[in-house]
Amino acid sequence: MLEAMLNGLVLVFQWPAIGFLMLGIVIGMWMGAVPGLGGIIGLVLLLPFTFEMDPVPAFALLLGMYAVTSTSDTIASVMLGIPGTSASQATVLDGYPLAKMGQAARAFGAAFTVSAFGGVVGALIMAASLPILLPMILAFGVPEFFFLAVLGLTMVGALAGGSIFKGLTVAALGLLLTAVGYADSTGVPRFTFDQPYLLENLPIIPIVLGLFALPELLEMAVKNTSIARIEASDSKDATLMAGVRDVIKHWWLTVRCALLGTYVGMLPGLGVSIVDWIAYGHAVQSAKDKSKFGQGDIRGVIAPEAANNATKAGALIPMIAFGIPGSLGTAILLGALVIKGLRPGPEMLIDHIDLTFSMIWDIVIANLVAAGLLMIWSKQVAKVSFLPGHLLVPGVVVFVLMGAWLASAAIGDWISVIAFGFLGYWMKQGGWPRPPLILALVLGKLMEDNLLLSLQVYDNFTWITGRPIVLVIIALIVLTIYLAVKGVIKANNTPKDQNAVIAGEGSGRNPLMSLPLTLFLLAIFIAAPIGGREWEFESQQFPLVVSVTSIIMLIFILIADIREARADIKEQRGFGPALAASLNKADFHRSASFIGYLIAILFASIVIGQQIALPLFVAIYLWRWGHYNWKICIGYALAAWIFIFGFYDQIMHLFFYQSVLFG
Amino acid sequence: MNISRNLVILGAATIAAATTSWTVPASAADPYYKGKTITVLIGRGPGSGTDATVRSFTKYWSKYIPGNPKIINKNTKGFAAFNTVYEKGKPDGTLITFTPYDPVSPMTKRKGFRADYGKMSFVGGFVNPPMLYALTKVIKSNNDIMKMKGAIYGGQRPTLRFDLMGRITQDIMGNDYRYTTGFGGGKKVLNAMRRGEVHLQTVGLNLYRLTAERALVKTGKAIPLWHYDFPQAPMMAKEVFGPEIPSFEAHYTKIHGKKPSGEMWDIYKWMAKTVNGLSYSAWMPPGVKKEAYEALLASFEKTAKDPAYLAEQKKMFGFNLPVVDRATGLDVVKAMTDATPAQVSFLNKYIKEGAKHKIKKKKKK
Repeated sequence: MLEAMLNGLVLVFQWPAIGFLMLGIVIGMWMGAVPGLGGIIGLVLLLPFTFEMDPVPAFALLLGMYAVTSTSDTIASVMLGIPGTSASQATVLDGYPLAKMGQAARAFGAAFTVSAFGGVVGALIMAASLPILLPMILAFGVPEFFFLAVLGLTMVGALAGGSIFKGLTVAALGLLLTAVGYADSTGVPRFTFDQPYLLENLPIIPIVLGLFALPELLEMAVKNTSIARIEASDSKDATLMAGVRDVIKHWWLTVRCALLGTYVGMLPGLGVSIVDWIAYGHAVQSAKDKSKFGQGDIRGVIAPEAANNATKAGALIPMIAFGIPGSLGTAILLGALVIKGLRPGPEMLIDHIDLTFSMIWDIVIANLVAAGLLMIWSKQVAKVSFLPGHLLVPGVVVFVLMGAWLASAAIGDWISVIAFGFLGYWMKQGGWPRPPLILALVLGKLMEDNLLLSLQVYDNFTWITGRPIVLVIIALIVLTIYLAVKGVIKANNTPKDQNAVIAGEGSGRNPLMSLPLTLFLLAIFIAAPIGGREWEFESQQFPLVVSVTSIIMLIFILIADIREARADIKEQRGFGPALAASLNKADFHRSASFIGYLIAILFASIVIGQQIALPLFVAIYLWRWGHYNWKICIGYALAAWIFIFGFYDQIMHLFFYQSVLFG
Repeated sequence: MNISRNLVILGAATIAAATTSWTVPASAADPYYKGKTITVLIGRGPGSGTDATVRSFTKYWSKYIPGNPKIINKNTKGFAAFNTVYEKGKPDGTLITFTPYDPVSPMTKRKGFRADYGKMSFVGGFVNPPMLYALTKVIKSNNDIMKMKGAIYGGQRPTLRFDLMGRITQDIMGNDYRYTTGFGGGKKVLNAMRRGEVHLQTVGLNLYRLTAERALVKTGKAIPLWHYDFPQAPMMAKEVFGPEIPSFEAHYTKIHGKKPSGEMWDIYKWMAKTVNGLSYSAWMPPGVKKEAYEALLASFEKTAKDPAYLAEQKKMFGFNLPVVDRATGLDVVKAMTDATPAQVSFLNKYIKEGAKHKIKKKKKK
């Protein structure tokens, strides 16, 4: 075994493998840093180049790239509040507030350290756990996956912010959205409104980008703030090393989350996008002082970042050893293995053990090198947080819209990102937490599919009572709910400091903004079961249960909103002044104007094409909002065009919308 | 100021370079595809069996197309590959699809499938012959098929041809089984087989050879039962599967001592012709230029015989996928377009029944 490990290491350090590994790392850092790209797209792009290569350099290139996207994705999550990839969704919750406080470098220091740790630990633990892996993987059947999804959903308690009912309702909306499109279990199209875009399930990337990125961009544009809301001179203590010290301080959390990521990563179907939420939820629930989560608690960065890199490493071994891909990424790697004429299974552990170990070393080395390089560069990157907002907004809008376009290259992607951007803004202003929606969106399909399969495959209640792992997970669910309820009761009984700055997710208070959203959601949850009344019962039951539960919760929310709205109206002496104050607080007019710009990009793209509309937006925004001179406007727009044309068109060969004028 | 000026110059240079590369004309004597790029849409995700099959083929294809065009593979969602080529493909033949053939969706008028095979140009294809295997937990030998009790069939989607063929052969054979569906992918059903949650699965031969055979059959946990019939090429099926995996018709005859018959059997024969004869198929858009079509048609056949390609494919799957030529492909498509209202009505009813999740749940004796 030791000899094979060393042979694997020697293989990696041989030329050209080491060169391809370094190339892969650099490409991976880029793919992770740009929102919407990520490891999957990177694998698809690089795969054809590996056809003619020997297996060792081929996998060095692929794994070098794939392993590090969940390290560099932290940059966008922390700096812009946009998940760089689906693996860093939860990092946004505390990473972005840290950047706002001028502590981006500290967040990077912590994130890159735990990413390297997680990646290395994941790879080594998986290699060591080989003998017990298969029985462990096979012990998780469809009932276990259903209950794991339920357990994941109980993390809503940790993500709900101010109102547990609002958090649960938002999660229910996420579950309902997962029902859009053809259902695998019945083949019935649901909530598609005869729109082809909706037939294939809603892609998650435009929703995440819309929900998180656009409201932050909107705020930057409307208030013309930099990302950091303090002066650079006030953030001198928040260095990279401070982040590293945070990791040492919270070493036990780091270890727990790396293990969590490793072992959850090996289970097929539970990818990084789920693991980072579970790790975040675990960090919140296991913390004694939860008050700073969502407002820039470094533990909220450490937990998901330690877990997501470990997950990728964890998913690799079951793919190699048993042909069980734990995620889409490992499914592509499995394809690469097959194209090379290699078969997953015992052969990889006997005849090709050196190659197998070289792949593990690829991940270990890639994680360490990427963390080191990012540490060096991130000091400069962190300075971006002090740049004027108007200079950042147009460039980031281009990234966000192109990132969304990558989902399915359909105009529906842009409609989704703008619609959810508006919803995200509305939720933020109305005090509705956004993370539960994403969590539910990630878990919903897993939940419904595995529930329906459990009911079909097992007789009566044997899928619950006859399975020890299910019973353990149920116990964890009960414990999680108990802790969440206890936390809410404790928070309600704690005297509130009226002067405290409440800035966490879902903590905003603007009842006249919240009330219309409550009514809007109520209408959706009432309409959903009515719209589905013609379907087979099997297609109806999940949306029906979700809708009925939500309607009950919404009634309570509605009562609370009405009570608060009436108090506001009374305080402002009339509905008119109260509404004006509410809209003013939400910067409604300028926000509507910004959303108008986004809608204009959409229509301009239909008429003149995206490659012209986007640079045009960049120039007009800088001129009208930023009041920059024409040279900067034109230069920036030209740079945007070069990037769109050079990268998305020439390198990625992306399909652009066929415009009315230019085809 | 300098930065702005440099940016302007760089931009102008890029525009000039890009424009030049777009407008260099090919001479009249050049082959049609010289200097062109063909985009191939694959209607399945990266890493899937379809993806591996198509990518390994297109790697060699350009060599045989006169003019050696650049080929770019792009993965798209389910129906999008056919729809995009059908609706947006230009006559110049630079956008084509090479994707799983889907006869069920147009026949049953599934929402979202908008392509018309009759108007598109078929270039060529492959068969990934489907077969059924079972866990030894429920059946020790395929001769014991009638003794099998309470076996659970793991399906992907009620509308999928693998699900349909699996169910209909169980029904014709008269087996005691329970149909479950919704796993959403062959590999997911395979994992459920490995966990022992389901006992029967229909797979394409490539997934069978690649994983199921090695993980389950060679370890004594599963046995192959039968392969589905290929009315267009019965000899090809025999060659690919070998004597140890009989055809369904042959196995039925052996078990029951007579050939299968009846309404369900007639439907099966029609379905076998419609859905089994073609798995991965390459299509060009309606109204494509003759020279483009002929170039791809001829080169497809040559590529499919390339020794290096065949060796690579065999290394990947353990066998060579049988090639479907134009005549056979059109014959398969004709079987679909000639479907009678009764056949389509049966199919719709059968799918609906499958979606209810409550069929063939026989009481245990």
